[in-house]
Amino acid sequence: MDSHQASIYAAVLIVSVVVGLILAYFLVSLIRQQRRYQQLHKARILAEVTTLERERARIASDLHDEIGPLLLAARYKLNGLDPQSAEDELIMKGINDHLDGILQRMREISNDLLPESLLRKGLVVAIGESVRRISGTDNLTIQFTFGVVRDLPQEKSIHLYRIVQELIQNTLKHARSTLLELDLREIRGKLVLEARDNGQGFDQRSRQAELKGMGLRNLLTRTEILGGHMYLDTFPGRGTHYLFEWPL
Amino acid sequence: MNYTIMLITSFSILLPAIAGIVRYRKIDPSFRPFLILVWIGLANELLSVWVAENGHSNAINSNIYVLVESLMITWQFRRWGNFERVPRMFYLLVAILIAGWGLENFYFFSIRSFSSWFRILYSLIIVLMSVHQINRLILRERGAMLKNPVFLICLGFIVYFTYKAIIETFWVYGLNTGREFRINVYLILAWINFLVNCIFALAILWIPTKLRFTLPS
Repeated sequence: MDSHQASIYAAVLIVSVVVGLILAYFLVSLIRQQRRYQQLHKARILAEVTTLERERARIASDLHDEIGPLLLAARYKLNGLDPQSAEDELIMKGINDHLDGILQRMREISNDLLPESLLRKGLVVAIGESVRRISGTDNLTIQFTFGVVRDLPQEKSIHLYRIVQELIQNTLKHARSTLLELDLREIRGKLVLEARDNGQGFDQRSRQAELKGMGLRNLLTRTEILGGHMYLDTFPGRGTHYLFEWPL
Repeated sequence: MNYTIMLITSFSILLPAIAGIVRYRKIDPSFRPFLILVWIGLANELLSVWVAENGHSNAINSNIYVLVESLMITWQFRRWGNFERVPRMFYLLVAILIAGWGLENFYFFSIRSFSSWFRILYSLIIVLMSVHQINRLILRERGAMLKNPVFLICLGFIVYFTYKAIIETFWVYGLNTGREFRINVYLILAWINFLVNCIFALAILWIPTKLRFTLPS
């Protein structure tokens, strides 16, 4: 190289080093920002979901412990009255039936908000009860199978139960499916939940691009809170297959 | 010596190519255009060496390769969802790339000689697509970015094609008069190529068997 070319070559080298430094700075700042952003995002969704669960538990407890006894007391008082005529007796029977209906519905709402069986008997029993209650609705048969699942902390069980609830609701609302298979078991140190339906499926990419689907977002949010991963395999006309994995 | 270094750095593409062969059946299908591109790149390197050893110019196969490379990378970005919001943009880009390549090789210059305009154009397009993809990842990736294969591949593209665009710009301004000067400048690109091929190999090893479901946060 002559001296002119050598000076141009030096310029090329300097440009290369400067561009390299800019790219390195871009890379480092990008990774740091992403990490910070994800930490904030996780803290935010955790706060939102924790508040939601606390509120649900409070409402369930109020219904069960305060409104329930008040309604029962009202029914006892009503039954203690002495009807003067057949018409009065008929009215009392009507009011009694109404109160029974209200108590029954109140128990259902309370159970939906926070199932007692989840707190007392654990996740698998609670899911089983929920499946038995809903299976058959809108021609949807739900099959629930499970393997050995160790006792989980209550907070974790609640998130998992909500995920199953969301899966069932999604299938009922959107899938036009006749069969939903749920399977929960531990595989190689991971808790694995699979859900497969024979419904109409959907275009996953367009759903993601349009940012549609609160149901999917709820599933993903709770999965992430538990530190797990969600996999979704679906296509229009080919049903939907969800797979969730959480570290134990 | 310089030729040997360039040969070794060029064949560093063997690293991602072998990793791709070993993992082909185990990785998510959305990465297949990239793997096919790596193998085409290796085939082009072999062909270039064979042509050069026989005393001919590798201009024709290189000119064809840059078109294939630009289209394969654009296809790969489509598979990663870069054009979800504006699907027509993919077809527009493909049309621009083919038209640019055709004009350069058959109208303004010859396919039998090296020219830089198309190389600058497609390098810039790839860098812009990579930046766009990384921006999408910042919102979606929940884990460590450095373990994300899409991020690593985009990073490799940004590094390699930024330098490629800069160096090709030098040639456009007529700075490739001396052979030794040209080889020395290409040596910089060869080392960058080596670094990027190592990043690509790492990315292929980290490609998951199935893609996690994510939504922007």
